[in-house]
Amino acid sequence: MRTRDVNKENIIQEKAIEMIVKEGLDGFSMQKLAKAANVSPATLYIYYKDRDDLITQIATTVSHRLMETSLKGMHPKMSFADGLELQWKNRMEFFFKHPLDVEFIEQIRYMPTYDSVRDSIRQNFGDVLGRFVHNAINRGELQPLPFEVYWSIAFAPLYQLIKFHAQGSSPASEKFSINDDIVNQTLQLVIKALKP
Amino acid sequence: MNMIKPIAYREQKMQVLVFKTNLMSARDIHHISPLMCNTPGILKWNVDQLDIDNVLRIETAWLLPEDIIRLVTATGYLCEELPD
Repeated sequence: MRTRDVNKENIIQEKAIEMIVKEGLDGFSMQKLAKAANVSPATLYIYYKDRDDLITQIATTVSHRLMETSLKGMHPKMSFADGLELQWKNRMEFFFKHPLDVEFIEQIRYMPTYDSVRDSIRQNFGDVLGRFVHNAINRGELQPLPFEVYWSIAFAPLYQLIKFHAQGSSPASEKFSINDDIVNQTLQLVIKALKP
Repeated sequence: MNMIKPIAYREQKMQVLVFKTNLMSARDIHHISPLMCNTPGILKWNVDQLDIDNVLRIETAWLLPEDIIRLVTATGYLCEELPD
């Protein structure tokens, strides 16, 4: 009788992320994954309906982990500067602890499969962030902006710094590594830019 | 009082059966669709079109792998059980 085994499921997820990051989605198959995770292909299909379902389920788990980390300690009534700083710290922590997870999300972010992941994030985490932003606007610490504009200014600069760090270089220098001063300088500019 | 439960009411454990097939195109899948939908005992079924084994996955409480193999091969397609 085949039953679910959480431990096995974790190994399957870990291997799948590793394979997709290293070889890309095109080279990914259930057979290869089964071999890498040391389970039979039949076992994989107990946990997942098909290849698409596997990718969606893993992406949902990883995205929730990322959101949980980035909202750690967040409170809707925090000042905007404190709340944004905390989210930057939390997101950085996640990047450095789980670099493969981050790369995995980047790989599948533009697939149609990701839509359902996005919906689930909105349902589970939209509330805290929505209230945080709403309060900040009411207190006059943040100007009302379309979501995309807000997100691009609030988080994209951090992501770019992390990207330079991951590359180990930037267009201006052959060696680049992230540090608190650089992050803080960027963060202060972001907060300033978002003020009404 | 009759305390014996008929077989149909006994709690049955759901099983996942998986087969390697040559159901490659949407047309192939369309072809076996009526069979899969009308066979009593098949609760859910799908074919993994994105994977190279074209895995047919079936959820059933009481059908055996041989039953499925007989059904599918009768339509002219290949169907063999994936080893556990």
